[in-house]
Amino acid sequence: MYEIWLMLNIIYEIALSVLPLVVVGVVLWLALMWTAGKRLSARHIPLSLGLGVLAAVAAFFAVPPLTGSSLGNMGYGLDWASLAGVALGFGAVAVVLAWPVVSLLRQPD
Amino acid sequence: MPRTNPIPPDEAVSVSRRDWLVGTAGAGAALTVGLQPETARAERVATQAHIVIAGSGLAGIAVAHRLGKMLDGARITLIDAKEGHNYQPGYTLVATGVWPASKVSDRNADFHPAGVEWVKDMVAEFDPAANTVVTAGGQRIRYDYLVVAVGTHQDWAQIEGMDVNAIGTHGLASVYPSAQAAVATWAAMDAFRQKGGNAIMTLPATPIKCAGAPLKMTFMLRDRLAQAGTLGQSVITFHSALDSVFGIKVVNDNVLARWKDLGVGVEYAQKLKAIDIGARRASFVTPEGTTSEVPYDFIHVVPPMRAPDAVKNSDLAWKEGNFAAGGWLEVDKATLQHRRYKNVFGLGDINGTPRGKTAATVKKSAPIVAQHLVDVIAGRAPSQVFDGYTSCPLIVKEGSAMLIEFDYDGKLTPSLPMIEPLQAGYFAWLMKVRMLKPAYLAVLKGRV
Repeated sequence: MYEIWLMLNIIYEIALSVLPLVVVGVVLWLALMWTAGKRLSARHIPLSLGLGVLAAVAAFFAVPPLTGSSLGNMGYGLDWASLAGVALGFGAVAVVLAWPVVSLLRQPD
Repeated sequence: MPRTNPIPPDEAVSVSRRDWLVGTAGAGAALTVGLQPETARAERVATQAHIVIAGSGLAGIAVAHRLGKMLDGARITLIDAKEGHNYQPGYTLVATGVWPASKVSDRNADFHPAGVEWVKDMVAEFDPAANTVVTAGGQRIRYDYLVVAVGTHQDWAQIEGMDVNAIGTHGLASVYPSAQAAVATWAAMDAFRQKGGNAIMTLPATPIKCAGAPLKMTFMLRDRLAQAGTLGQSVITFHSALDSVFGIKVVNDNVLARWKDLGVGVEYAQKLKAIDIGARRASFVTPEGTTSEVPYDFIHVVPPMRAPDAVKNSDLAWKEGNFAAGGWLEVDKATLQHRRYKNVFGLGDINGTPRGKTAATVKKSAPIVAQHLVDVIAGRAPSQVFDGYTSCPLIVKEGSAMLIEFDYDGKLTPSLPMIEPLQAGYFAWLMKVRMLKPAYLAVLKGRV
């Protein structure tokens, strides 16, 4: 439990350090959700998930060099798992952002 | 015939989205409250006690936050002249060119809890018999309870000819004195690696804060030389004043095996006694008194360390035993309560304990010291036991590190079962460069 609380606090402090970016992102997402309104639909989730997967794959390869390391430094299972976790996190954010955009861009039924 | 549906599809999605948002927010709030440590949710103890905290680094500010939440009515005074707050665990990243100095420099005023009185002066004298501290400016401050969190004194005077202001010139480096020294150290390292040459890395015989830093600097120097293509014309030698390079044998042996593979030499029982900065010559002495002079192109100097004079010259210091020579604070290693003055506690690098001069030690011990001080105020005996937790993300090259965690007994104690302490890799590096400072800030604010 302590480790989970610690991780939540780490994420919180990271978010605080990039607060303007977070605020812009949240406002943008809310605006997209509001604009999409009734066009939001569960039918657009699969495409959003697909975009999320692409984002996760891109993050998987981009995050190590962006953090001063490389895939060659993956020493054991925990390294791969933590990289996968970070990539999945990016993917999840991409899904949440993509859903209203996809809903707006796709033709309504 | 048109299909009928009592709820149109879009409204069905709207209703479920609203419910999902509300449900998620509620679950998140409940989870956050539930995940908080028990002490964060415990009732506050009513008291009119005056608590003085000497030192406004990580330890002092963290315990001030905690005590403010745990006590109702206490008067808390922080004494420290420093306006700046330095994230010292980041110094090795600045000194090896990974981070800019801006990432390790903040202001104390931004972190002090509300309602705490800040005396902008240094404690010059501790008079525990009179429950009083005296500042450098002559102010006498009485206390009911005292937390000593004044850190270490870097005893540069032990190295004849050493000049901290010359760091960054003539191949002279040291990660320890300040953020500016760390920047200058990178400048010296960067200049050295362009041509390569003879590099000396030193380790004193005294306890030091962040015992892993001299090793990290050695690993990173070797990596930077390899990146610059000048490793072939360089020799790196680690001069330890002890018979080892690290206090945990299994880690010591692992590091030595890696250095053997990397071509880093090691000399033992070599205490740095003097340095001629202009001539780039270092003098070492053995315990038997044999001296040797070694030329260098680059030298990383680690200062001997001891307690600041205010503690060392007071009745709070150990009077006998292993910690007496350094004047370290005489605390019980399990409770961190002073062994003779029961209204005094120690936190952080000042403690005369077998291990634990790291930020991670403060992370684990600040809640314990706060709880024990509250216990004593409430008339209870200290209720918890500190196991000496210490942690060191030991960088072995840019992009890779080992996560070493251990206790007073020198036993490796990984926080998570899947961590392999002696396995270098990306996870420990990612922690070091992206997660440890946010964790530090959470500790500083008394939340973790």
